[in-house]
Amino acid sequence: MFDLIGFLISWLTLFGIYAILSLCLNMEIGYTGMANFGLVAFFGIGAFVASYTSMSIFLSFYGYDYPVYSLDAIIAIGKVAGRTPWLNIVVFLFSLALSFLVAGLSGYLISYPTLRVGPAFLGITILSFGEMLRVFMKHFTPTGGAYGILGIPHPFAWVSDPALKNLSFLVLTLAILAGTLVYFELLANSPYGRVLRSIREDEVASLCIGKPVPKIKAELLFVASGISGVAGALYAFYLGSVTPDMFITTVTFEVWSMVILGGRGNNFGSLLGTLVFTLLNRATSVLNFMLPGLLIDPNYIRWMITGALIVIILIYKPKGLLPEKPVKTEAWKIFEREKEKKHVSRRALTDVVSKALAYLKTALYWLIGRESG
Amino acid sequence: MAELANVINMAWYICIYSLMAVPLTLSYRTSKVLNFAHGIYATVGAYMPVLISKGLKMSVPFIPVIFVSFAFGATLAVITHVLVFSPLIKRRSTPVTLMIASMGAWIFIKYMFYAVLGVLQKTWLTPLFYVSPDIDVPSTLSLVGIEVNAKFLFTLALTAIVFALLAFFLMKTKTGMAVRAIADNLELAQISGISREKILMVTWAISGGLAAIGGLAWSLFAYVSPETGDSVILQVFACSVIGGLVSLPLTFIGSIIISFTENVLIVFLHSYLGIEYSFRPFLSFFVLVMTILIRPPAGAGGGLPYRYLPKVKAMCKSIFRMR
Repeated sequence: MFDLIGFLISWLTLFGIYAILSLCLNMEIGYTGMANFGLVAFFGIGAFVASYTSMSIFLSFYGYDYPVYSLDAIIAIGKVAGRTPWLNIVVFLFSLALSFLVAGLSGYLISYPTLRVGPAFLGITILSFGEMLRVFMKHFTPTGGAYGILGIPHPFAWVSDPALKNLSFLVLTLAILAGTLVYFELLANSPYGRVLRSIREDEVASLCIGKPVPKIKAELLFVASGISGVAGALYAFYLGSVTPDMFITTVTFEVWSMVILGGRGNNFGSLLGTLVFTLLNRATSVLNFMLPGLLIDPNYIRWMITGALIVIILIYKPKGLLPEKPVKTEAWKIFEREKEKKHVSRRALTDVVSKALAYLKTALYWLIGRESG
Repeated sequence: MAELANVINMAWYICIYSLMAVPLTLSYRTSKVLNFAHGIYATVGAYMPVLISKGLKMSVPFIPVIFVSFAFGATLAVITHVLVFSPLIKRRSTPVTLMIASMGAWIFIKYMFYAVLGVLQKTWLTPLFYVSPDIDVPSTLSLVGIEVNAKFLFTLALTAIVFALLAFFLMKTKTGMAVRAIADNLELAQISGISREKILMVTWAISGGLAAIGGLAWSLFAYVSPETGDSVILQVFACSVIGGLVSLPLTFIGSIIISFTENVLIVFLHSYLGIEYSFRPFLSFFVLVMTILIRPPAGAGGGLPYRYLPKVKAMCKSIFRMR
């Protein structure tokens, strides 16, 4: 019969991964106005880096010298994956960090030629970058060519119960999603976020004020691509295998449709859009499994709905389901504080929370090398 | 070493790329829509002979199928314009919004086409994916005593005729002049009494139809699948970017450059530097990036403040002044 818990776990894990991606894209298109049509490239880079490093670390730790894509390596990993919990976790965290760095750096490098031209050219160049990378990976033997890498050690491979294993991975994914959401919310409501919006509204004007527009765009592309790389790493660990053909251009467009449905420039809107589209994705795959031999493949219908929704929303509701909200500036905060003066008892608590958030913000600004304003 | 076969392949690819890239540039210039759905028009054009030959179980005559392909591609493009782009253009949407809309249209049409093909495959009981059409063309043609591949000659002739007609249309006829006027200066053209909507309709019909003919040229020498148009669309974009998305002759030169890199240059690189053939897409990407770096696309949508060519010129001037 229909397994509800399994369905929920698989749906929510997919939701977590795609939500990280759509938050990154929202940061790029929604706040900064950079049309990144090659999101899947960074997603794929993250997945491949994470799977390659985790496989090779495992193999060298246990003294095998098979190439990572060989059948022997898959069998060997299958034997040893559950033996050492600490190694699983350490390798997992290390490959997440490495995929963040590699994907972010490639985003930073690709920004150099592309940011100097208009949005149409930026879109095309990043799109072709992603596609060329996919074709290249199909012919690149060290990562297994077109067959990719199989048998990636799951970070919770030492948990014997499969449901518990998937559940703990789900919790981890949602935790990373929550961290990303908090970070992007703080970034978007900071002075830096206001600069981003000014770039989106009028690039020349913000250049004239003296903002280093190409530098800011490149920084944002670094952060967003890096976090999409982390999402790719999570995807690789979740599926246990990566092939180049998983990272086709349509994945980018799926993420785009999520952001557009939810509303550009609103992080919670992106979450809502992701929720809808991942549900659609899971539902069609369940339909495909339960009703084989339909006249029209449900997948085609899902894609047709996706394409039609993009067009319909752009024409009839261009701001999406959750439109963009005004920036939470200092003046806005003071206004809200004045409004809340009546509730004195609540004020103490909000003060503590806002102070803690301010400290957190300072720390984050220090991390990205920027003074808090 | 590059052999004759590579050169012939290159000529073939020049025909295909230019037939698809020139209308892309044309439609971008007049409507300011960077159309991702362009590839699907080519796919539809490539599928027309297959559908006719499999559905009616006959070999397709070459000349009528050109018109059929053109008609289907043009109809699809006009429908896309009326349903998707026209409402958005009327509301003065940004180029990015138009690009996303074209992406949505692309996804919708592509999977609709997949679904239609799936249904046809089940009703006609013949495979429709990865097949070549049965076109009524002699395999070889004796030309001054030399046996030449007839399909190749037909493609060359087709391309030449199509571009001659396009040039005649744009340069000599009244409608063509109106198209150029809209592309050059929208406000001025509208003040002179040119209907933008009508001209856009004509442009879309031409660009969709020419893309479909490009797809037809593809189906002459290779099998077709629903991914046919999308598999070459990035190279087509590269050709258009070399033309700056502005100039039609430069776009044609761009298609020559891209097909040269993909068919001849790679052979040289393979034989002298040992680079694998699988680096082919990388080379065209490299050409694209180098174009953007060395000669940033001018005009339409080009990077306003960042072009550093003036800076270099100013530097050269200052150096000369010092001497």
